[in-house]
Amino acid sequence: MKRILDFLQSRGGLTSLWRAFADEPVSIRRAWLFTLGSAALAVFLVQFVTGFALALAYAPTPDHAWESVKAIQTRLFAGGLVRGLHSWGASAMVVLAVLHMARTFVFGAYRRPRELNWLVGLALLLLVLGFGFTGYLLPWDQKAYWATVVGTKVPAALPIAGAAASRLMTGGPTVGAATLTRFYALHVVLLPLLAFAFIGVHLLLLRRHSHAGPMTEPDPREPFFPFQAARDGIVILAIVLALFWLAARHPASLERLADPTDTSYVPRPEWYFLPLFQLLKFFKGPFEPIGTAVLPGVSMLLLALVPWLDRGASRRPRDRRLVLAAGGAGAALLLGLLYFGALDTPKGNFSGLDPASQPPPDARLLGGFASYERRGCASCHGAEGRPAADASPNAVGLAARAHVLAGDAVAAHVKEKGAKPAATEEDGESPDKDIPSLLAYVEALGRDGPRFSALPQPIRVGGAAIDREDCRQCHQLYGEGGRKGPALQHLLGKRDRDWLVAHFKEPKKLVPGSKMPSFRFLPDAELAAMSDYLLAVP
Amino acid sequence: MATRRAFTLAAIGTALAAASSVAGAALAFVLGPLRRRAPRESAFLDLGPASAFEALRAGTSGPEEVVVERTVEDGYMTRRVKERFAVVPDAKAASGLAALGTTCSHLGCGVSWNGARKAFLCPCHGGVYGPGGDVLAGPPPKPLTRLPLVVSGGRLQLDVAALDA
Repeated sequence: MKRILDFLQSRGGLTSLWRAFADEPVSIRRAWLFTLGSAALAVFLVQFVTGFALALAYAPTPDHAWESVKAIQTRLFAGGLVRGLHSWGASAMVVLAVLHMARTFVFGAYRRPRELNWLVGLALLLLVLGFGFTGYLLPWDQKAYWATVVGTKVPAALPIAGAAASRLMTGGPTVGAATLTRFYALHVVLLPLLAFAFIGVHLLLLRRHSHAGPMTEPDPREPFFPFQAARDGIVILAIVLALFWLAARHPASLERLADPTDTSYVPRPEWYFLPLFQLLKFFKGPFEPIGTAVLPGVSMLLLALVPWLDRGASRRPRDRRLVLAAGGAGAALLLGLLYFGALDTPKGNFSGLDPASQPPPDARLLGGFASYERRGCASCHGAEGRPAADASPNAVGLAARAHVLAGDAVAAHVKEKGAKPAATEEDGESPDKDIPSLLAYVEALGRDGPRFSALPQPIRVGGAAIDREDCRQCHQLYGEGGRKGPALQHLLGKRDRDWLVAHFKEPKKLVPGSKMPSFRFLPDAELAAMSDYLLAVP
Repeated sequence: MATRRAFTLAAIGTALAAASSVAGAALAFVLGPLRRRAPRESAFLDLGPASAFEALRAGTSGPEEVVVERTVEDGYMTRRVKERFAVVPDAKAASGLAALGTTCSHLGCGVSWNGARKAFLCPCHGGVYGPGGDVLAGPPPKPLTRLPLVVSGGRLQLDVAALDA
């Protein structure tokens, strides 16, 4: 062992490098507050490792992105765990970077000679936000798609280069295949390289000037190793355990596949972009760039200039009242925007339900419609049974109906020709269990050629989910189904959507003694849509 | 003149030339999407028999949403994409109808018709458009995109050439 160490020292100077690192004098006072930077670095490494793992199974194309993420989440071994760690790690990254920055700000640690390192830290914060923005497009679900539509349009209203910047982000006229590959390349190649480089510079500069220590004297110091290293280790372990708990308890969400025609979907960005999102509501018409560029830009500039705006000799809070008050006001503003942005995330109104409209179609037909679309029936038989724009739906539907009367013939045809995406193959269930619903739908095409594509999205999705999850096994719906549970009717007025969603997740909690199984494994958006559907049933 | 200074400049120049030519090629590729393509020729998408929109033209029913599917160039692939339009009455058009894009002019969210308020509402930042697509309230800087609809052989057709501009 000693010989190996001697070899490493003589050929690479590694032992003295380690000593220089371990013996770095660090402050004893406020020592726990100085663990935030190490914690942020640790979470960055968590992101790197889990991100690499996810990249092994991810396909950055509109045709496969959602499916590959779905497979990671539901079928690949430990995929849900790794994705959960990565998703929660992203939030932890933002929180820790901001806390680390706030600590530096309050301590006045950006003062001369550490101005440059403050700027490097600010750049790292922007990189973290860049990771977030490019990262959540990748699953190609509704949230990903719509948040990116908004995000890439933000620069478009800016003068001069705005439109070009927007176009460079999307890589084409709209968010699509080119956007996905661009964001993927940024997320997994450019941003990580930049982040590692900036982290390296951040640490080098930290070592060069040592850290600033507490705000007031005295500032007794001791070597970084072992005590401060141990404090770092404890904090990091606690954070990693928390990430594991969160990943296991609250799996990363995957909403429905991105649907550009779905106008009932209410886009909301990841929580750390909500303040910006909220800001956009206040500036109208020609003043829009104030919210999209001027205010964020000025805030960033002010932050960057902090070391030059606050240059007194003392770092005591009472000598820096103005600076701390300004910082506090900024933080309060940000938290306020976050709060109101979160408050404005709609719960009850996004179904697009028009009370005057018709009652929703039977869940079975919606389930059949969903499976008609999912299996790609439309590629030969046309959307909603109209193979050509000028064909009458009934003619096609009637032909289909004749087949339905032949029963098994259609089922065999569907099994042979229809696509079977991963979505139908989980949990050991038969991938063809949707066929009865599909047959019912096709038969309805022959009867009265229903048009479901114009229905509000939650009705379509919720109805299909109710059919897929076989709620009728125990419940009556439109007078058909089992009688183990209460009939699914007249719910409006008695229950609201929040109650229904909570009940789907934990039936026994809300109805003691209930025999209904939990549907917590379904995405929240789908549970909400199911609730919307049920509320619309008269 | 073989001075030390000239030699240094030549060394730096060579390195810069090598680096910038490679960087230039990569940058040109990255900036590729900025090149304007020639607008496509007029392309008409069928929306069904014109008679189906009679009630709309007469003003006895609200805007009708239609979903059309078309092929777009998307980066390295061509894709079929679905787009949603709202067909509204238009006294000036020969067909008596026009199609409104359902993309909010603010930041691109999808607007939808609200029958109770008789307006198109944007779910993102609260934009409100009137039945003709004009901005009634909120941040949108422009009305909804208006596309020409023509009747040809009894069929209502949407001219999508304007979409690619």
